Amino acid sequence: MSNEVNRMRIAWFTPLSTRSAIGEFSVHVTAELAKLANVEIWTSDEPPYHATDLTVVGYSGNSVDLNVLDHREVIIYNMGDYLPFHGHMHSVARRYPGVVILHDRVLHHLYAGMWLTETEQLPQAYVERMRMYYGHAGEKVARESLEGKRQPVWECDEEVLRYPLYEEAIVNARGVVTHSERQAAEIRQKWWGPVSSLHLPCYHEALRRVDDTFTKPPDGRIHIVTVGHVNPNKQIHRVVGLIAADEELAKRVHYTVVGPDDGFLDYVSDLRRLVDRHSDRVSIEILGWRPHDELEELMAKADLFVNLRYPSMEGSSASLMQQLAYARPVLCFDTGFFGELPDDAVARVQAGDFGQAAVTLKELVQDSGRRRRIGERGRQVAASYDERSYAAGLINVIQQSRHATPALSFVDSVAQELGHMQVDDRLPIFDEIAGDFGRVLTL
Amino acid sequence: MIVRDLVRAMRERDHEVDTVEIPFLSTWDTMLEQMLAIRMMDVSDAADILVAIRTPSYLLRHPNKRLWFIHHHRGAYDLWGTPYQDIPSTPEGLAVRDAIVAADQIYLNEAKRIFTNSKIVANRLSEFNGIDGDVLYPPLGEPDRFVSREAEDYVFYPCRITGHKRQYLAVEAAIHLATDVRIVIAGAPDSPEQLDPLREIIGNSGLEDRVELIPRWITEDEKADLVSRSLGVLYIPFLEDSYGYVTLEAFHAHKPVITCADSGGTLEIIEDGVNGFVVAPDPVQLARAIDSLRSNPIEAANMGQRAHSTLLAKGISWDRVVENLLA
Amino acid sequence: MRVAIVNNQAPFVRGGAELLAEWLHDKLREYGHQAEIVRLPFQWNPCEKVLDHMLAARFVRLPNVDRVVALKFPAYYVPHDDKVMWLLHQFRQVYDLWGTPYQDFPDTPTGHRIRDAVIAADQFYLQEVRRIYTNSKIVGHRLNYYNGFGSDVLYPPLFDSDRCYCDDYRDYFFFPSRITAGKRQHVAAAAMAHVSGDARLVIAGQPETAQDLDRVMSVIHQHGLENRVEVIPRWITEEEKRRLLAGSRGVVYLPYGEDSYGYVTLEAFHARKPVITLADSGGVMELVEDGHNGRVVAGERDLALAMDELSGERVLAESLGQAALETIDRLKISWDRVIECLTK
Repeated sequence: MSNEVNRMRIAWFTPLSTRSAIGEFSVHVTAELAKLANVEIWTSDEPPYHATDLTVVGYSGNSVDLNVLDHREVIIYNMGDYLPFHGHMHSVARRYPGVVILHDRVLHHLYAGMWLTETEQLPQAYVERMRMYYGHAGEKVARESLEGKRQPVWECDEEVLRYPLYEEAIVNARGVVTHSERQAAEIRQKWWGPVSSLHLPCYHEALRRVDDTFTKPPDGRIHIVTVGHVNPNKQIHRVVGLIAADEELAKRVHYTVVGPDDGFLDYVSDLRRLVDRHSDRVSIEILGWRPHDELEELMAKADLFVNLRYPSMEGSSASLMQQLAYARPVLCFDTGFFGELPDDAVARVQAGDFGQAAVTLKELVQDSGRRRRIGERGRQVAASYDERSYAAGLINVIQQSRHATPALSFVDSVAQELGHMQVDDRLPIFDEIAGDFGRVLTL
Repeated sequence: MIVRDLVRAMRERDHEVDTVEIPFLSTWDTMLEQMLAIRMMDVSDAADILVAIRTPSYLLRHPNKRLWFIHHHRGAYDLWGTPYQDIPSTPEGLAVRDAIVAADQIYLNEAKRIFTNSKIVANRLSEFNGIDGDVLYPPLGEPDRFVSREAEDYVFYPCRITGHKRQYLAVEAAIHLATDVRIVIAGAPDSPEQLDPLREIIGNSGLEDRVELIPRWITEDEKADLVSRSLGVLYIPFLEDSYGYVTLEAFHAHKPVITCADSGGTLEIIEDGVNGFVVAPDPVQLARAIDSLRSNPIEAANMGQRAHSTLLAKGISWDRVVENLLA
Repeated sequence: MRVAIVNNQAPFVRGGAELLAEWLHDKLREYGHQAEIVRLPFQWNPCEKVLDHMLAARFVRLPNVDRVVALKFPAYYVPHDDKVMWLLHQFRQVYDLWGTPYQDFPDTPTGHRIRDAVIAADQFYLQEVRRIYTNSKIVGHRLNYYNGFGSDVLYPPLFDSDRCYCDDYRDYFFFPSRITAGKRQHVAAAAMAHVSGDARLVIAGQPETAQDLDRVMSVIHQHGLENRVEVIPRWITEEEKRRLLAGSRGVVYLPYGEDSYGYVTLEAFHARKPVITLADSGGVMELVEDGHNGRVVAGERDLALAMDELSGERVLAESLGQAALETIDRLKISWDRVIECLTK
């Protein structure tokens, strides 16, 4: 097995901007991966970048330099639901198949954005894909959204979950990685290549920054923090509501909402108005985006994190791992990745049950011992999900993907030729080939 | 060549034969798609019987397939793990290797009858694919060319000159000869460098009078002539699958054949002391066997007779081949 | 350069395309190139097999080849960066024969889907070809009409045209060809009933079936033409053919609706013989021009008149024959041109 001694060359596609959490994830994971293989980072965005010692290759969708990718054993694409960071990557992935890491389950905004606005003006592609993946219902939703006959589906958080469009990202992938087993299982129903779920890592440095004091903060209030993009899915308005509705909570907590607030302007202004309305009774601040150091300080001062996403976007959350690392309890719903953590590592409530959430919140505010127990257990669990184990998991995925590549690329080639011939899918040739080669190829 | 001879043999027996030759590149990373190409081809309507010879021609569709199996894609089988492994040991390579083996398993079994060209290949087929093939030895295309004449004073080794044919062993043997027997070696070298070691030994040991080296391709007539007047023929390759046309040519010409214990397929029809000699791949032993032919010309001639009878005994004939393939 | 001539193979069938491939192969070598013929099996029954073989062609690899010259569907789908077509046949069943009694392709949903795939495939893959030549104007027109691709005509020459010679212009007309309904030897025989002069007719060729021979013989007997019409009902050697050709007054060649001019026509021209044909003979008229190098007539009676005219006037036959020979150069039917076009 002499070839195994040679190190694999991995091309790692990711946003690298300091504004990207995926970028942060990437520099941590690739630092570990680089101990096992030759890794270079490919990015299409502009500095400032997260710090990395590895080679960084800049590219755009049409770069000629892309043909060096033929000489990489593996290409990894970190896909997320944001066009500026993932648009170019998608077009490269089409030509150079690789392993796709799905950081979000819903990629609808990425693709709607791609097909409808910035990069390509192809509304027909949007309707076609919605039909292809979701049938008549999908097509109708797409068409009516475009024609203005209804509120666009990409603005409807609950409904968009039914049309995630992640399928588009994995169509010609050689392997798929998700961060929740639930999502992996869902994908395995529809896609035949290797699918694995890995735990998002809790970065070592995050683990190091633990504040051990559970003492009362100077102002006497219990600090509750929600971190991340301010959007309706985080149900911040409900949290504000339940604090305002409970006298004790209103008196005892200070609620900080920190994270970019430029994504859902209407929601944010409604939120601010709501906070203002209750300002005489509650201590709540919406800070918007804060630089990394300040964010860390805020998180270090937290007594409790609130992460009541609803409905579940089914992805995982890097910020969750960091929150766990601080050994502070996380209040969350029993959905998506949050549902996959051990019971005693989080303060978990049945999805959508805000009544229960209010009760649990109050219990946590009242009981510092409970906060400590859950927090420490959470930190323990987070510590077991570190970059090294993620990188090791990824190597396994890569080996599986490489093993599956001849079969997948065979299928792609055949599909491509049959596509050029516009072969009607009712013709028997598909079954014929599947019959002959299904017994020969294993994935 | 086996194809050409088989076609001729069938036509001579009044069968209508046409050949289907499909280009095939045996590089591992194009294998799957090319296998698909062949699998999509159908000759069911064209003929009553399909005889498939080279791998992976047996993927062709036909309801009445017979195989005359010569060899696997050996890089995936017995040559795996050797320097001749032609598929990388990467995950991708392993997947392709497994696919080749899986495909063989399925498509070899589509054949109604399976024959191999030697026991060695039959054993491999059995070991790797669990298939029992009957041995059907390939005969010469033009056997009548090879006649017997009175033996002169040399043994003859006609073969392309290359490392694993081991002409160097024959030259080394010349050093140890006790009689006045000569060794004639004829064949085109695979590359000019192949001749250097031979010339060196000849030069260093002063064998110019003992060893005649004809370093070029010789015509069939030249070869038949040299065989006919020889005491016997040498055929000493390293581990070959099949006994080789050289052996058959000698047998047709009533000449005994000297081979080595590790020559492979020759051992299926050469029996030590009966129709030739089987010696260790060692120059001294080889020299002894060669001397023996020179010192015992009557016995040599008898061995030659028995060599000729071996052809019948082993059923090496086109009648048998055609009959079996088309049964 | 190393040229691969890619053709179909229906085992045991050897027709004009196989001959042409072999000639091209030999000529390429004569002109100093390396050439190989690659033949890919093609079975089109049941119709689903057509698609199978199209896909098969897409995955055939031709290493160590500089240029591919592809002759027929679906072999012309073989992928290669430097591919030239010398198109002899598309899959006519889905094009000009579709909707006619000669369609020979099922009118079922599956048949329609396969047809669509053939058209889509031609549309897509013919784009990757460097240049398209056709063996006749008809094939080129069809390609343009149905698929929108342009092409140049490259007439297939005879392999050894210098073996054709002219001896004399005797009193018989020669009709060499396999005896079939489509070649219409029986019509030539029937025309002889109307001939008033001394003209005789010699028909030579292997009858495809006993019925085909019967058809001709019964016309002869019906009109008592035993002394006027000689039938040689077997395959004749090249020698025999050339000899008969050399002494003839002219050639009668009446195939129905052929794609190409036919080697018979070309052989006749090389032997300086005028050719008489019918107006519905298709490709033959790409060579034969009425009154210039032969006659193109409407039916039996006109056929007889034409034969009478030529048998009455030897000088006319000679001058038409001379023009026939010159037509070959005028139309640039030569291996020089073929090799140059296919290897440039």
